[in-house]
Amino acid sequence: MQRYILNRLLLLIPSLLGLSLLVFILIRLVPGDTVTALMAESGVFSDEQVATLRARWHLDESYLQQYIRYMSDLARGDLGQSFYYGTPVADEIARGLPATLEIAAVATLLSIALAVPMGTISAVRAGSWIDVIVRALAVLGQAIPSFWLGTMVVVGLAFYLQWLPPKGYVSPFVDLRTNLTQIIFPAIVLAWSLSAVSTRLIRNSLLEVLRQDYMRTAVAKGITGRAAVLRHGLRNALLPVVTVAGAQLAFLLGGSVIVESIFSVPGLGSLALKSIELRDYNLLQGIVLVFGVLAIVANLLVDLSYAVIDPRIRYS
Amino acid sequence: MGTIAKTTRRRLLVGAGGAGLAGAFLSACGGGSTTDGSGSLADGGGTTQVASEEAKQGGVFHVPRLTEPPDFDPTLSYNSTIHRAVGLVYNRLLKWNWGPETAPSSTDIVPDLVESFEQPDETTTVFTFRNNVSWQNRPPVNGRAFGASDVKATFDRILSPELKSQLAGRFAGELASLEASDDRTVVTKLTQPYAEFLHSLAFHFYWIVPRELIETDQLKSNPVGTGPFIMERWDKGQKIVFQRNPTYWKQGKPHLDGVEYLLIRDNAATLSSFASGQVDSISDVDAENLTAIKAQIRGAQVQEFATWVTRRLQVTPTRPPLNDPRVRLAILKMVDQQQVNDLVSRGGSFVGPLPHQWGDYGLPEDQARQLLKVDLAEAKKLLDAAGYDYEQTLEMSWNQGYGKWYESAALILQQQLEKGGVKTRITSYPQAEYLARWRPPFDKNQLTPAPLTGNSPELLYTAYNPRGEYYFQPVDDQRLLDMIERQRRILDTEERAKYVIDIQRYLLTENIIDIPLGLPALAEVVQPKVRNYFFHLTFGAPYLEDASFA
Repeated sequence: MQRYILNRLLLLIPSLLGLSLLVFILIRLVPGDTVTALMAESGVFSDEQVATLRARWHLDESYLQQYIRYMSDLARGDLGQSFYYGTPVADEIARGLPATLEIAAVATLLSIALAVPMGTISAVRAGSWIDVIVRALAVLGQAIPSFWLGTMVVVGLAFYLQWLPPKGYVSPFVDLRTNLTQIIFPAIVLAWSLSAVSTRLIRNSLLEVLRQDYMRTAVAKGITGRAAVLRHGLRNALLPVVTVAGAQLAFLLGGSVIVESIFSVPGLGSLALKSIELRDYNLLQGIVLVFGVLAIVANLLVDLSYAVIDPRIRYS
Repeated sequence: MGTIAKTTRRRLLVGAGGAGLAGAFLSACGGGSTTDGSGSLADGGGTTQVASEEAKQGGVFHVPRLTEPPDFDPTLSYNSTIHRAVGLVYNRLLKWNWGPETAPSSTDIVPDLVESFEQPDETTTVFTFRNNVSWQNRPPVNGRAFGASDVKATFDRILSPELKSQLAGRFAGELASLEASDDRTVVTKLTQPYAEFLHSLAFHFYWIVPRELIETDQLKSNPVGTGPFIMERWDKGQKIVFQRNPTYWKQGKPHLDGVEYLLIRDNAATLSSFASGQVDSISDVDAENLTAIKAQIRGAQVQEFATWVTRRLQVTPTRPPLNDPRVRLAILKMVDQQQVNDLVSRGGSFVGPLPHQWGDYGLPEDQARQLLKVDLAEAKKLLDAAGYDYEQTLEMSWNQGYGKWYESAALILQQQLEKGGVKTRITSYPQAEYLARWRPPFDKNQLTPAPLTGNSPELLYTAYNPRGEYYFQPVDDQRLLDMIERQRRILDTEERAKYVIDIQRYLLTENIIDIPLGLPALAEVVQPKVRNYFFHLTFGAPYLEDASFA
């Protein structure tokens, strides 16, 4: 088991190297750079001023030189400085990470809280009107994009209740009530489509399990139908759901880019959007690396959780 | 209308905010028109509908902001996010006036840190500063008295060749020296008469900073000024918090306990925040959103205004077929500005190169309408005379960063030119791509806003002179450059205004570079409980020193 974890952690290195190279190239393929983005705010710079700014941020060097510089800094644990703010990228990320992680965690919990009962009922009552409603809701959940739902929530709250959650982000350790008010709506918006996918998956998976011989055996041995579903059926049906949950973290982080902006939450998502607008290469590269690490670690945790859910699985 | 040349040889004393004396200062400066604030949008006066009453103390005013600044150093760049952020903290030597009777676009000049000035000759100005101004009681300045050495330190920094400040441009080649003769006096010497000198000092980029912030390199992180509000903290990505400056030099002001700039990056979220009462004002509201706000928020107070920024079609005078002035004149005669105003701006103003709303220097509306009259028959004659190839397609473009207005205007414009037999292809590009693809001067046909220079003829210099900050279109016309240079040297306001109007007639008849497309209407909206909110287009919202709640 330990060896398996070590191997997986070692695999992080080439994955992140590949990711860093990809982000490095892709952001530079987008026309414009930090200087042109700044000109949008500041008017036109003289050629001399443009040259000075490009030199300050090493944008006058070749891509190869820039990448080598970036990687050598990264090897020392230095994510560089934000072009726009002039502050260490690590500080900016540290400022935005808690809000994003909390929203992602709450969204995941909410989606599980919704998907497990809905998927289970839908499978157990397959073909009934409840099943039809659940499936319709699941389709709606997948069809409605989070940016639209987020906007509708904000507009609905503001225009019909004349109320909106407080702007910004307060740590739960400082003021739990304000914190929950700030993160609950973005978390609901993200959980909505997330739970739709999980609901359909649980339903299909559970339907498959319910047809297995061991389920009939369990009922034949005298276990009630409800107990058989909860103790044996659901546990076996969860494996594919957990697998998808790992992949959904990437979806959550991607969704946070728009949802955080709509709800004015100062997380990594809104920071990523800002860094793209400003062509703040260092900041964006740092954020994507953190997103990458989170996604990879989440998938590792998912793999490890298989052994807990299904004792037949062993790692070597 | 007085003129600088006539009046500056006598000493002008201006009281601290006294309306009468400020008015005297205004007429002395010849600093633009006075509007009564009661006009409709069509005549550019702006409608003031925000309640004005005796101010009550207290309350925190919340302002939405789409962007936040990288830092707070106002001396190096024109980055509007910086200047919008520091306007509550710092003062300028002179400023544009605001008030219940003043249009939001007015650039009437009144004193700020300056108490009086005299101009013993055409190139020398002696500024005397107020003696009751102190810096905010924060380190490293700790409430010491404001003085001439701060002004000198500020301008030394702006004009420092090593720092390459964008702000140096306005004074480059104009300001020969700026010396402090004592604690309250600064003497400036110009290299030659410069009609825009006072206007430039009042421009909303030239904030005076304390010398200690420069010496200790704290300008970026620690704004400490002489202004009505103290910057308490910056929660990056969230908000900037300002508190009332208890030692502000204007007695009894500000009335608010504080101001908070909330970062709301999304336009829909900004509207919603206003609807929910989370923010107290909302800016640059167009006709469409204004209708929605009025329907949703009972009692919302609306102040409509004409912006400083005219919209225009730039035609490149250096490349065929538009290098033939007859073709450019023909294009001008096909463009129906009124239709653009009616269909796209939904109520904008009909304007020439410098809008008539700007007062003395603006082209009068009747002249603008006459010179910009649609005449397809005449256009065809001009094209035929120029041997125009009707099968060719004219390429035009616009920068998506400028907003939706340009998309609609581009479509209307395409139809108008097609009626005149000119085929066009209009392409739009994302802002960063646009700026990355082309460096000014762009040398291409494009829809753009006019430079933001306030309501002054300085626009002519910044747009058409190769040394100008917004030289977007190459101009190969020595006569025009000579005329623009000459108007900068005319100190008599009346004479200068007449000459500036002649330049505009030239720009609409003989060498067409820009075709005006109107001056759209916008609105500033505040909550019903807000009082004494004298909105002005100046950056930094310094007018919040007058604002209060019911």
